[in-house]
Amino acid sequence: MTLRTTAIIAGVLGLLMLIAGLVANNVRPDREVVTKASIDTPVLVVGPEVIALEGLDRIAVNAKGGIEAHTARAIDASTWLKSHSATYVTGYAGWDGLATRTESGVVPASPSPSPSPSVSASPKATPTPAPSPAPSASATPQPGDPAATADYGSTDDWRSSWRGVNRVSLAAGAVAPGEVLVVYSDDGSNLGSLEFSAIRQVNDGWISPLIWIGGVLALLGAAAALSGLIDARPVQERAESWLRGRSKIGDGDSVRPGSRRERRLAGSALPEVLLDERESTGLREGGPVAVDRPDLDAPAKPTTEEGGVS
Amino acid sequence: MRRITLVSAAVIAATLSLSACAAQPPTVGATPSPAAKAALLDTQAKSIIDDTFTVLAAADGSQDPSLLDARFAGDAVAVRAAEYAVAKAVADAPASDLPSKVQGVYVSNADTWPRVLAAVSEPPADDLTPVVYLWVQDSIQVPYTLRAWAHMIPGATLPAMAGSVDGASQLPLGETGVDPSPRAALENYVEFLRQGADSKLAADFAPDSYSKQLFTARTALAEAAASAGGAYVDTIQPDLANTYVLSTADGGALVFAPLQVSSSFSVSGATLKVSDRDAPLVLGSIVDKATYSYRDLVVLSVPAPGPNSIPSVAAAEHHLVSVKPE
Repeated sequence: MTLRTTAIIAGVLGLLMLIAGLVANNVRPDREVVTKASIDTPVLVVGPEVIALEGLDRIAVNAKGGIEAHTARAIDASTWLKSHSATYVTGYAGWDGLATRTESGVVPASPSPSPSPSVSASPKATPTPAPSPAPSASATPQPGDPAATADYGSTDDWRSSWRGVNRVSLAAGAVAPGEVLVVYSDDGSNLGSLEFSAIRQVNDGWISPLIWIGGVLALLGAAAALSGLIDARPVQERAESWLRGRSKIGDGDSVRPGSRRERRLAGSALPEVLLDERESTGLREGGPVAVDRPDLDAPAKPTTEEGGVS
Repeated sequence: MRRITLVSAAVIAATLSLSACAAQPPTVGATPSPAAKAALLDTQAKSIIDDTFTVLAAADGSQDPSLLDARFAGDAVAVRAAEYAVAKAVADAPASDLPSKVQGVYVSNADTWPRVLAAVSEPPADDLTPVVYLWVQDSIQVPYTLRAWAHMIPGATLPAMAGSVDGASQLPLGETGVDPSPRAALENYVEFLRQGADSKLAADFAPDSYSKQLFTARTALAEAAASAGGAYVDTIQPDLANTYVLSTADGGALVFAPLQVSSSFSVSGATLKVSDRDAPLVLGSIVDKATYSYRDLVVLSVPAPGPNSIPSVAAAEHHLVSVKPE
């Protein structure tokens, strides 16, 4: 596998990484998420363990009309809730919904009259005025009426309170640890919806490196692919000529006479050998020739065949 | 080879793209424990106290005891109504001054009802001692209501109590952690009041001005009744159902005990005449016998077990609420 092929494969993978990174970046979930749930009771309860959920930032309740939110000790809230139907938030069902359960409170019956332990005997009867029918024209306020107000009893045991019209929003951190949040509508009608705003952890640290690395690999692969389509030989020739020109130092006029460079530039340094023509010895052409001239170059060193040192 | 590479790359890309980038929603953990264990925080107690004195101011303005219902109940209503009746009839007998500024608040940490809130006021005047107030909440559905008050005994001190973070424990009357128990201390004190200054039980309690004044009046009225051929009888009953006990910081107990005192004065062959100040409280026609009904509050301090520690009266007040011809 050539270097070009490897680069092209890396480029393909880089392109896929780039696409995946861009897609992930496009569908990246927001850090701030609002999770909603509908509330079908007049009272909503958020326990301290839910308020302590990691990342929970704000709690908001929407309804028509006045809304009150209070915090209380857990024992106080549970006692108060015995006589009210309420929706309890138990946690997240997912980022898209909240887990809830509904409990119907038992409204305590009116205390029945008990006989008084002290009986006073009166010697004369006290005339009791006869009951006279008195028609009443007063209308009973119904839940949902703007003027209607439900009786939720004393507010002495509420530790912190928030009030609003149509919406109440409070920071989860405003509720002291261990306290229960109780929200109810002023008129006793059902609350509308509950919103949990949270700052969640988004594992998006890999998206940017994926995009950058994928982009670089894709460019590399693209360059390798393009290099196979373009004839670069003329460019290469010009580049080599240019390199040769760059490696040439000075010109011929600067050669010092008698220098080794002059001799190198002048050609071979082998001595010129002049041979006389001889008559044929009868040997066939191409055979050994005897040479007896003393000016012939002899080996500078004896050969092994002459008893020299190898 | 090429196909395998492409498929692998596609799987990697799809996995990366489709894998959830957001962490899963947090799950519910352990319930955090509350920082403040007291039933009421300082802000709640202050709201109750302020609301009480707002109601009191409105009722005082019109001297109408029915306006007290929002924050008053029990003996406090009867006592204030009697004060209004006297104030309306007697020019120089206004209703008692109940200062709204408090210097100490004692809250309960009870998980059940009834619950108690107590407070000590600033001194209403240089010559008057601070007032001890007692609020009670019967259930979570009803507000705290002022049940009684009493001026502190001169020279008495209230023991240190738990703060508003932890709150004071509400002790049962039969609490055995203190000696004597709150019930025994109260019953012995009531018996001491019945028997008089010469009672052997006198040594079981620190001297207090409340019992001294009661005995002084008893002696004087008994002599007056005897001289007229009549008699004077004090009947003292503790209201145990409305008696509350808070633990103190040193392991003692503070007992808030309402007392019902009936003082019957009778003469023979004569007609009684009540004073102008008491006349507005007369229910009926007084002839030769009158019974004065009082609703008192006694605050008994039972110290932690230790040498030479005896109960003492920290606050007490004698409130006349009615005079009946019987």
